[in-house]
Amino acid sequence: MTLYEIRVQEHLSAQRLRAFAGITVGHDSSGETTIIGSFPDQSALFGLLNWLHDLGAVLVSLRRLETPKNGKA
Amino acid sequence: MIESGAMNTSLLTTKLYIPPPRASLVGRPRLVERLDKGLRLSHRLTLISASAGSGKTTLLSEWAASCERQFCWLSLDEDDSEPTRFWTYIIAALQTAHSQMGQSLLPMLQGPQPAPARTLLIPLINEIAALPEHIVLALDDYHLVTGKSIHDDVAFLIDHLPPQLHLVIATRADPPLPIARLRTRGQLTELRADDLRFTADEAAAFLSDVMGLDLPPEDIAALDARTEGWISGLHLAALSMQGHQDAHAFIEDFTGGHRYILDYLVEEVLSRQPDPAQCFLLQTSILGRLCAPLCDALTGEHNSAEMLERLRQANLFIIPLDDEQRWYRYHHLFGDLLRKRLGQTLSQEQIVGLHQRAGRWYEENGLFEQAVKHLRAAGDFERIAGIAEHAAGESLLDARLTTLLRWVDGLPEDVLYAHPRLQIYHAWALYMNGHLAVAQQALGACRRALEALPENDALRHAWSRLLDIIEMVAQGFMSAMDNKLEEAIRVCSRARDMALEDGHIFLAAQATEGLALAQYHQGRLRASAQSCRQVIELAEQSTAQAPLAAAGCVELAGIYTEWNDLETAAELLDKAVELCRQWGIVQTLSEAYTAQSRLRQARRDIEGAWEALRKAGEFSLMEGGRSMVNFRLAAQQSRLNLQAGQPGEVIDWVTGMKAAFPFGEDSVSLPAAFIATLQTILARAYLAQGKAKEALAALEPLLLPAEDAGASLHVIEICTLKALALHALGDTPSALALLERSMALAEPEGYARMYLNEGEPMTVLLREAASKGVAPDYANRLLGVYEGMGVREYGSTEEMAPTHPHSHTPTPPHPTTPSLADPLTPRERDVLHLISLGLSNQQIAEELVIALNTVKRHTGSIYSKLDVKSRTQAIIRARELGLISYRPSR
Repeated sequence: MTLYEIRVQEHLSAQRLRAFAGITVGHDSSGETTIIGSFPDQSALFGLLNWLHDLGAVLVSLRRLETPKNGKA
Repeated sequence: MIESGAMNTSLLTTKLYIPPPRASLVGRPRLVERLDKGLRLSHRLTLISASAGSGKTTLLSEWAASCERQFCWLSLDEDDSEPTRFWTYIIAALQTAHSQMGQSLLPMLQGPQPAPARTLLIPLINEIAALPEHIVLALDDYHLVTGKSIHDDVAFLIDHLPPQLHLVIATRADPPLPIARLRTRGQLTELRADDLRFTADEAAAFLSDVMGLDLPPEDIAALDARTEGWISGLHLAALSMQGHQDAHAFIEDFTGGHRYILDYLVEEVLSRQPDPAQCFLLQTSILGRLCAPLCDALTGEHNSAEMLERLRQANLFIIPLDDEQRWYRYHHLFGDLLRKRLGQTLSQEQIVGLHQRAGRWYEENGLFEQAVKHLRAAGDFERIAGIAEHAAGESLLDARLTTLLRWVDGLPEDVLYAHPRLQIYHAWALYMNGHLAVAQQALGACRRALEALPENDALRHAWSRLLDIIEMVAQGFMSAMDNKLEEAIRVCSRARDMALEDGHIFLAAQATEGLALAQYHQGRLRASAQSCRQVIELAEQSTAQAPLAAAGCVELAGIYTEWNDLETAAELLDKAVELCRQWGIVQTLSEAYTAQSRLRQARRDIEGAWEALRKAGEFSLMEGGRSMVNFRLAAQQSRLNLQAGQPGEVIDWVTGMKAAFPFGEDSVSLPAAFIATLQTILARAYLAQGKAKEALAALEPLLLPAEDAGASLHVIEICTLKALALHALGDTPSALALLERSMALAEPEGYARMYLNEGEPMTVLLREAASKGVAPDYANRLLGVYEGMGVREYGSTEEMAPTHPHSHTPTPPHPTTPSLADPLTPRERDVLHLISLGLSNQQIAEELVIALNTVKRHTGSIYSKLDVKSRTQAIIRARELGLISYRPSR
């Protein structure tokens, strides 16, 4: 499992992301949405990114929060 | 293996072909066992999610070959993000197991107005649930599907999956489906990148048994470590080594480098191929599917058959798509890499040339869908226009218009201008699909294009006339709705005659329908019925004109309902529903159900009336209140609400509609016919509340314009309601005078429901009329019908209450009214309330003093919680759930 932080430019409700497990959704005063999620592999991460793309969300940043132990994810 | 049709949705059967496991494959019993176990445990879904080249498809085909259950297969591609196409292919895939499965649903998907998939899923699920044995449906490359609506519908399918069907999804990225929920409930079999990696043993077996390499264990370990067990990586590495004298040196170089593994390997593999093969691979990489004649056309050589066979034997990432060794495709990852190389190797013009040759080959072979795709890539819009024009000429004026719209979409304007015929077809297709404003623009553009042609141009003359007819039909309809009845009749009659002269049956029928509508508003039921029959007759001259026959039946049923010949009306509506279902005419289906709701209300089958209304909502496609269909639907809902004793809610709705579409002396935003309907509904609501004066006020502004326009239908209705109001106020002489006027117009045309629907107050008034010698025969006939019915219509709610348990609850009867899993927030309820009043998003934003985007977010969330796709559906659903209750207007 690898922890990623994804920021998008607008206010997205957790409801719209409910299909994805292991994520927390936060909003800040700037109107951006921060999603922090722990993903088993790249397919899981890209699944979420694709969905954000489908929703028309504008990606601000993507950051890996911790280095995976096995270097694979 | 490929079926085709000019404008038909041609299905590529190669997409349904299960790739055979290669004989020389490394078996993966540990994974197959996990897949089998999922079936034994009755998991709903198997998800195989891993990056490209991980061996997903290969594993699935191995499983399919050994699995005891019947396997259905669908290889998805980018085009399948269109819901109609997606579900058509799903049904086609299921039909490989059961040839009749979903057959009756296909027309609904492929008609001129495709049904929302959700309405078809329930019958499809029921068909699956009736299967005698269990089957597996595998969807390969699911990541190529984008768009919320398909994912939502697949999620719905998964949620309601009967045990007979096990779904398998193979994808590069996790789909937005309720995977997490299935996982926690133990209903999911999941294989991910880590599971698919070759183990050291499998890697060794692959390199030696499949690729024929004899490597020492330490080299195998090094390769396995560098590729991380990634199958395509190993495969490419092995292919590279097959040509190397010194495999060990290659491995050292490869495992020691830091270059991106794929670039490195593809370069290696390609450079090992002889020049002709390299050239072949690059040139044909633009093809989604390959067959020898097509490849020959592309390369200009005649050796493609041998070339394909050689690639297949060399295990060069080529996958058969049928068992006749005709169609192949490249492994997706390999194809992507080849195309990337192609871009670096050939010039842009050369690549365009390849697409052009592919497009022409497909065109010559009648596969227009694929031809258009390549020609688009080549930027050869001229040729696309030619294909579309040709195909449209064959089969336009019937049902298959969406394909035409799709083909024409994106053509540059100058190309469209150069093809006036296509332009007219396009405008007509837009018109038929309900894009009225765009259609009118397009028609205007056609006109200008034609006028630019020389005076004596034969084309100019012929097509100007067709354009005239189309414009007249469109104009006639709008006039009919806007109480310009004389004009509507003049225009529609002329359009009909011209269309008949020129042999445009469809247009003639359409014009006659406009005529029927105008006559109906003139109060001339008999003439209108005659026109409706003519529409049906014209339409039935050719089966392809079924959409109009259905519309004719619906209108005619409305007239028979008015005549209180409910049997005939019911028969006509059954016929209309059947035609609509058979031909996929969703908009008319919605109208038919609305008419059925009215009919059932007349028959006092109130539950049935709500049920029909719910169906009408399901099939209603258009957003907002401007569409006639939705307007009729909402008006019928108001009638049922009135019957249920909720005049307050009805007044709310009318107020909202008027706020949404402000009208007055100088406003034309809402057609006169809609305004009349709104105001008469409002008057009835006031009457039900005992506010006769308000009812009179609501009717007052209508009478003169209706008389001026010769809209006797409205005159009759207004006079009738005014008579009731005056009678309630105790002014019997004035009431009788108005009733007499109404009946004088109504009697020759045989109106009945006009009076019967008004219930108890009307019987009192009619008795009064009969006794005072006001149209006594007609009045007595109507009273006789009342006695025959033995019950009272709405208007006397207290007395009806005992027989209608629902009349005091805001929830219409619905046998399985569920509650919401995810309840609406108070704000969402506010927004929903305003939606139900017909306010636009902008108006809601102003009303609640919030940003437009916030409103959109709320409506999105409301739709998703209510599981609906449009405002109309949301309102109906909300009423079913009792979420909208009467609240005083703000």
